[in-house]
Amino acid sequence: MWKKPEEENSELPAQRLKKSPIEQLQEKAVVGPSIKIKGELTGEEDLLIQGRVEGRIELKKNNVTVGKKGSVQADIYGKIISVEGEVEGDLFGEEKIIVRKSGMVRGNMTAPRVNLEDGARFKGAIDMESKEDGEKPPLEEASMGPRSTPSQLEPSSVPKEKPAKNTPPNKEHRVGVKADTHRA
Amino acid sequence: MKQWFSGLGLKSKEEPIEDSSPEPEASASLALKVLYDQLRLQRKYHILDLGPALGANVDFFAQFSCKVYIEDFYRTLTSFDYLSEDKLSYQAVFEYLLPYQKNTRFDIILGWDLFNYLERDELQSLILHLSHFCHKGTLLFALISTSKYIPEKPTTFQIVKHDRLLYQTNSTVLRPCPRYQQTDLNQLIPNFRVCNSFLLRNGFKEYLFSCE
Repeated sequence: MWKKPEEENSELPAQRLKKSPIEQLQEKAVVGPSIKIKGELTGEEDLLIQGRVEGRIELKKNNVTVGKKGSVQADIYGKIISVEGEVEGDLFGEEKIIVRKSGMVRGNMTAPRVNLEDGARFKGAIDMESKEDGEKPPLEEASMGPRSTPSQLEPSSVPKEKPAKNTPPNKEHRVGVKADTHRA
Repeated sequence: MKQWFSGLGLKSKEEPIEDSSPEPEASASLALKVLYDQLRLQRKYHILDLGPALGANVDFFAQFSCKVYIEDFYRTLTSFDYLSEDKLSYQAVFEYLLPYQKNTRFDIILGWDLFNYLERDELQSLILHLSHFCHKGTLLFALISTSKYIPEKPTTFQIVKHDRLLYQTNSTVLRPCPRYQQTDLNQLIPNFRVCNSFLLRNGFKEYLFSCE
């Protein structure tokens, strides 16, 4: 009756929570720092990327984490996508996308909820419209130009408005121009 | 002992010295209030934010189910080496750095204080480029400095409330400010007309332009 809680279960809380490395691996697949993958990644388990992945990552029912050492050049489909490293590509989160303070994303993000931590770097578009919302007609439609429809935002046909890389554009456009003197 | 010291309003030597500088205060933004009132009218807006990505601002716009395009434009422009070898027209540069689908139409453009950091030609070309992606009624929000000098880099503006902005200065080094007047802006932003302007006590004048 007067048993202390510890006596009911002799394991310390920390011990109870601690899982063996094998158990941890079974829960989450890991692309290690020295691994480079080109192609399509699919599966049904959570994924942690600490290496380099180019292509496409499709784990719509699972969580995808791009770790601090991770570098991804691919579109990512996941349930919850968390970015601590670098991503160049579009992200599609079924539930949420989180860009941590160490994260850098260049691409578009589509998810019901998007969380950008202070210090995170991002360039691209964020569409936070949930699937249930749909797009309601604007009140001032008469004055509006054409808009993208929800179907255009589907992964298969998302307009590729990729953020520009900082490399010079086509030389054909090059003409003389005066130098900018303000910026150091 | 510590309690005794602190009870007298004194601090013991062991206590860390607290930073006495006050927390930065948010400034009123009447233009933001106008935008907020506008945002509440419609369900979905397409917003172009020329400033850097800020979680607080994204959260603010998330309540309206917006599509927000974040460009961090000053950083992009300054890191883009278009002045080195062959010279490019500003128009070509802006077409390259801000590439949008032809049918993209923004409802709101947040310029923040970027315009203070652009020369007249740059500003004119930028607006010309962006006007291709505006419709009648597109709102353009800009903070024009009335001070003689401004920080070397643009300030970061964090939305803390629907009518309050937190200014985060990113440089202590100063540079001259072009101090654009409304007559200048009417010339440099020809496709837009001023629909609201608010002179603030902090050295900025807020402008809301509307695309014609």
